[in-house]
Amino acid sequence: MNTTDQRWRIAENVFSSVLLVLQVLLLLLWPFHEKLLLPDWALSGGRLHPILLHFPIVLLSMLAIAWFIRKGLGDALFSDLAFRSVLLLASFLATVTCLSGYVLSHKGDYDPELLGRHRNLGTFTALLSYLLWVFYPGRGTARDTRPFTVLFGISLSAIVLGSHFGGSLTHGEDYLFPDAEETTERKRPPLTANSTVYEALVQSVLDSRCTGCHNPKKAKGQLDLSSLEGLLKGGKSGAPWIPGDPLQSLMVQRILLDPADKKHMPPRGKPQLTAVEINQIEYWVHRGADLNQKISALLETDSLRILAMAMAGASPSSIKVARSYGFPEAGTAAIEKLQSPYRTLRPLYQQGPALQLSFFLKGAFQLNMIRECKPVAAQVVSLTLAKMPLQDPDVKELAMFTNLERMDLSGTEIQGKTLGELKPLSMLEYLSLTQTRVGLEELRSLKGIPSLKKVWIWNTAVDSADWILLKKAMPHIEWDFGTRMDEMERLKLTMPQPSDPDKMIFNSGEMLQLKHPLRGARILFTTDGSDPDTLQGNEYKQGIAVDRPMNILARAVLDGWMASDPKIFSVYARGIMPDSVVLLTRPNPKYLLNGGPSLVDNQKGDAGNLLVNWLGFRENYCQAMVITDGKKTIRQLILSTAINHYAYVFPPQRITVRYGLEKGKWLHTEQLRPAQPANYGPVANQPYIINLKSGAWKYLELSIEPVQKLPSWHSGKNEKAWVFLDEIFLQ
Amino acid sequence: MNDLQRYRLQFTRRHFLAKSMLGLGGLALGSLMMPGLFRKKEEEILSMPVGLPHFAPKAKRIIYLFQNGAPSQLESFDYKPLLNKMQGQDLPASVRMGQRLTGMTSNQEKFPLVGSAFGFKQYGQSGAWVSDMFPGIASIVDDICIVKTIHTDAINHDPALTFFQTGAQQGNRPSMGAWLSYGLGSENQNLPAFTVLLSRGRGNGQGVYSKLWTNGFLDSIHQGVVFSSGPDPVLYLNNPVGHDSLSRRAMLDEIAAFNQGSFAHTGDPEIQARIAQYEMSYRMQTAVPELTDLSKEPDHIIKMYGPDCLVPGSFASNCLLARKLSEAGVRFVQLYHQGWDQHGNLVGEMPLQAQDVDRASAALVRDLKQRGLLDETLVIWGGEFGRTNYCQGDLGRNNYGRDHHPKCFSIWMAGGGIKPGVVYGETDEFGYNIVKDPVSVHDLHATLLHLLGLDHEQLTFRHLGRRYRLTDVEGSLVPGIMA
Repeated sequence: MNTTDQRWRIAENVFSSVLLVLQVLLLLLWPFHEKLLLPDWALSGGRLHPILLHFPIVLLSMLAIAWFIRKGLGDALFSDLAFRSVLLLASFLATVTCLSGYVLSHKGDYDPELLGRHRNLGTFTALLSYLLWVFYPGRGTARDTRPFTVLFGISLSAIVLGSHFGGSLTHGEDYLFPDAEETTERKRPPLTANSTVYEALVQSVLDSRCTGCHNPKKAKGQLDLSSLEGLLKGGKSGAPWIPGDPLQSLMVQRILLDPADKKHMPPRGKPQLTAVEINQIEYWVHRGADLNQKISALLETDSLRILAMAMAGASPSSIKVARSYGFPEAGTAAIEKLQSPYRTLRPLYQQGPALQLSFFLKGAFQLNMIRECKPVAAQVVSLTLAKMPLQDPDVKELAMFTNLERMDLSGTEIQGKTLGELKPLSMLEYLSLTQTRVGLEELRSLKGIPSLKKVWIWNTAVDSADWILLKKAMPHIEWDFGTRMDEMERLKLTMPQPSDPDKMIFNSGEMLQLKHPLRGARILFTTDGSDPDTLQGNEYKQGIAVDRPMNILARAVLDGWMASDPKIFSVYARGIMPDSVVLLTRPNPKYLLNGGPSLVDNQKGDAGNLLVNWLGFRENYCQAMVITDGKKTIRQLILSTAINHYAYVFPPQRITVRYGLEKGKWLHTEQLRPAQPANYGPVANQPYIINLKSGAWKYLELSIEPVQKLPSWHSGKNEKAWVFLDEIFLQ
Repeated sequence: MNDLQRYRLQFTRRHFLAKSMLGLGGLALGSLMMPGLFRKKEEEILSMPVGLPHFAPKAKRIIYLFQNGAPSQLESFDYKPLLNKMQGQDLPASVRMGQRLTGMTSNQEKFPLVGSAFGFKQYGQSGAWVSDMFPGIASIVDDICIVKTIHTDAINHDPALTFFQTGAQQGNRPSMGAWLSYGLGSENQNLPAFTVLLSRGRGNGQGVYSKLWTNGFLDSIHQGVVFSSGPDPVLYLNNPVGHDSLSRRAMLDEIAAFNQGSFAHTGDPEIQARIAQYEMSYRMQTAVPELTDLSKEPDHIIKMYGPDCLVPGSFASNCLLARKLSEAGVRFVQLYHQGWDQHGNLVGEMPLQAQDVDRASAALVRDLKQRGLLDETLVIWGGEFGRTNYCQGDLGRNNYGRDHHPKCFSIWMAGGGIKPGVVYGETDEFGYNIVKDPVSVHDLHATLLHLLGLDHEQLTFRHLGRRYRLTDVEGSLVPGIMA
């Protein structure tokens, strides 16, 4: 042997020894692979398996070809040494491949059955390849080469089978012969109300998007999403969801990740979940992720139920209002485009395609506003045109709302001649025509709408006596004529009201204005305190002149009504306006007002509210100096006081007026002792008229004394009473 | 202000989703829900989008005839002849069962039972008992559902009113109308979704306050707008003298420009609400006068409501106005009629109160019915609690008073999904305790919301860390009164 040969032999020996060691290791690993413990850094060695496996397969295949055609090859092409060396190399690589396979399978992501087969066949191949090298007979040997050939054949078969299983492990069982449908679409039973919410909302999504990689055969992340057991078991990272907390749930988190993120599920390149599907899952998790809850166990108004039923293809039902609309939805954009303050288009409710259309504000209405609704006409179920200026020729525009169920045309200007144009409305059930001029003949054309159930015709040109005729012509319709008021009932009118309720004091030339809200009502009045009626009252025309203090009684009368109660207006005339009024004594500090000028400010007080516009005296008596310009003749002084017995406000016990042309020089005196009550009486405004001698008096001094001792019948007997006054008038 | 802030602010307030006032028409119409909705910060998650009913509604609008002061159920809809038989006898402790008293009667040593001084008769197909004081309501008994077993927790007016209107006795929550405005918006963009009409009767009255129609923590656009009698139905609505609508328009445009600039700077959604309110007021200037002009009503309508309906500020005129507002698409019209607090002189005062409301309430129901609107409108009549079966103060020969009683009282409802011609619930013969089918205030709220197509547990708003709703944490539907 030459040196090359020798070196070659040495190399061969060394190599084969190493191989022997590895083979023994393989033999040990084969039954005890589960007991293998590896540190993490060694695991990347397993990743070499998919690369390394190519070498022994190729080499052994080439060797097989060479062996089977060895007879035809010359010595130059077939050398035993070369064959043996390559066989050694192949065996070595096969062993190393196997060992790396054990390391790879240590991570344990694979279907055990499949993995087991692959492992066994691979190990078998590696061991066989060693034996092949050991028992290589050589080409030209005399020994029987048949056992070797057979062994080689078995190895090749093992390679093919083992590789197939290995391929299935990586690419799925159906890789070679894929099924007609890519996904594991099992036959699921159809959804009904007895299905669970999970089946309706979540399972279908998982089936179509997730179980391609998360199924029993290929459980990525050890997660099997195709069955309840698999879900409950969870995967490598844990349970797919936390009931009630979608944002902490793993599955939801993965779905909501940025699509570019590696961990985003489903992975890039696979079909993604739609927004609706994401919402379904999130909401189901939020509601407790109950796998067993049936749809029928939920309240009918529960959103979860409604969603689930929608998925199940059933209509969203609500308590006894169930109405499923089969027509498709109008687009959101189309509906938004049609919104305006004068035309409202809204869905009837949230999950349905049905729309309701309403028009408002007569002044803003135009026929075009109806025409513009053509894109959504098929979805409108309820239409309100009440009080709009719609006319007969316009009615044909309404025919495009073919799915309309309820229409309100009350108060429109139609006369009903074109009601026949509504024939295309084959779903119309409720129609309101109140307050229009529709008559009996026009209503007959409604016969062309057999779906009608109820028509309101209150306040139309139809007489309620025609009810029989209508019923005969269209017996399927309920006709509502509205209430019939009792013609004979006579109600009492309300009292006439002053046009200006605050004005009680009138300057000369001003008149009291009265009014009554009912059209055509007349007002009768008296000024002398008597009860006004047609015999002893005057008819109110433009106003009532007030030239002195008077109590005006007024009633309202109208044919067909009972006359109202009389209303009493206590009014005052300003008369002669003094130059000034000065208070010489001080009123009670609580009721000071403005002092003297308050008595001529034309602000009338209300005896029921003593806090406003009244001067009150208790400890002092009231003394006031009234100064005029001395040019006009004065005949009377009128004092307006309040009476409120419960509040200790009594008539003054004495009123004294001293008057003359010069201050201090009193020419005349008048005195008045008002009548005192014998018992509690009503709260009232009491004027006192003091007649003076006629004259152009310049100075008038007024003294008013409150009662010093309340009478015995009063709860405050022997105490001082009050006197309240608000205005002084000179006539 | 960067996009992220803007994004956060807008969705914090869910402002743009309550879109009716701002013209954002459809929200997730046929499709299930807005995807973005589920992906906000954790707080925002998973309430249903607002502005649309959750499911098909029975009623679209409510008119609430609130009888403030608490009308006595024993003189209206709850007939208890036993009280007349036991007149003057002390209330047995077995009946009272330690129910708390108000400060007004806690000093009383005796609690003499007193029966109704007014007769009762049976009416309609259900044979409902109605007092002689309410002939009008008696005549529509076949259209209404009388609930005799409403009960509440509060015993005095303020907390009881607040509880009834806002769902809690503390006064910081949105009122019923505000919740409806938030949940459903207004049908008519030219009118507010929630209006309030006030009237006083001649009886002993308790006041009402704006807390009862407040928007609470919801957007200010949801508060109740008070329509008053007088020349100016809505305060500050009309242009001042010398200012015409063109100048008004120009002014509004300028203000809107300023506001938009402010919004671009700070992003406060309340600014957009303000702009929307100005625009609505502008449109209201046109819409309101044609509504409040009652003089154009035909004679038979006036006869039906009674001639009082032309006197501005009376309950009857408010009823007529309520019908017109409801017809025009206002979601919630609430009337308050004050004066039912008969602690004394019930015999003198209550008939006057009844006169004010009886004819008009019945007329309202009839009017809606003949126009075909009763199917879509829910009418409710009732007070904040009931009155005691014993007399407050001295039991006079011909007169008596009753104190507050929260344990049972009567209301009636008509229209929109309510079972007509039915009397629901039973109280004991003393008229003190509920025997069958109690309905709490929250139950009533839940049912009302349901009839309008809203799930009361889903109509929520997040505030101060938790989600609030009208029914707070209680309330269940009452199927027995729903058709």
